[in-house]
Amino acid sequence: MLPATATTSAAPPPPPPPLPASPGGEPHAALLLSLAYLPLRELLSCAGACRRLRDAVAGDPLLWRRVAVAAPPLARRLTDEALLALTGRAGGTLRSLRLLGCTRVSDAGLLRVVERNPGITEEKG
Amino acid sequence: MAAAAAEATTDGGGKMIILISADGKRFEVTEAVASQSQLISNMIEDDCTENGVRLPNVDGDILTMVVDYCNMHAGDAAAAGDTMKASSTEEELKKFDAELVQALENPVLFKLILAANFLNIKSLLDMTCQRVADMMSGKTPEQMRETFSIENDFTPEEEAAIRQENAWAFDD
Repeated sequence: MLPATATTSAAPPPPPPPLPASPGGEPHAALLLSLAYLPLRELLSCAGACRRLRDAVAGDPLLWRRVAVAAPPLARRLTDEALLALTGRAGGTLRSLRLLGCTRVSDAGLLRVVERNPGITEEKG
Repeated sequence: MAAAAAEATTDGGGKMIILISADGKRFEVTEAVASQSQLISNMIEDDCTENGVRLPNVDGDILTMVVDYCNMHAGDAAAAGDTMKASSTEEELKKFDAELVQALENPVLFKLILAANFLNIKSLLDMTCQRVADMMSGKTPEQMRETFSIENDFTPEEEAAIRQENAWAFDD
């Protein structure tokens, strides 16, 4: 009979833990770091992908301190109400607002945004 | 490629330090090259790189890319090492950067982002996150889920609520 001797040589370093295979799982942490690089349209779209991204987009006022709506599809659609909601996500810390071709945004609507964000330093109609 | 067997000393260039990946691979680089990482730069300032810098959450394959990137971007500071690389022009750098990020599969790109964030290399973080942003460009939520393997865990009510919230932007 063979003795069942356990060899006690130095154990090799454990292999790195396998990455959790995530076919359809939580969004990767790298995606959360990338949110700060998204233009508005993609930021909104991204928030519609899953709860984690929705909460990350909604919960980080820093993502909303600079708002730009300056290209056709969104610019033409932006209303006073939508602008107020968007800029409200900065929780009063909006720094920069850039609007171009936003024909549905009124002066009164713009004024309301400025009133609620005393730190705003840059604004273009 | 980088770096594991780099020359042990340089001709009067910066001091060398050793970076050690999670899986035990060692990379010898000049302080000037490594200092592009704000994390390591701080460690050099605090004089605690003597016994090598262990990076327990960066794999060797990812650290290889990071070291390549830092070597390429070290500019004049790296002149003591590889004269070919040290003299890379701005155009060469752009090409190198573009090829680096374009070629990456998502899992590697993601790991590189986490490494750049951990090591605090802003230019590399900017470049890799911008690549993700570019990949998201013009995509619907459903397309984003497909591209990045994200599960839709919304209840129908939550999905309706968020669609309602963003209706002004997406609905015709």
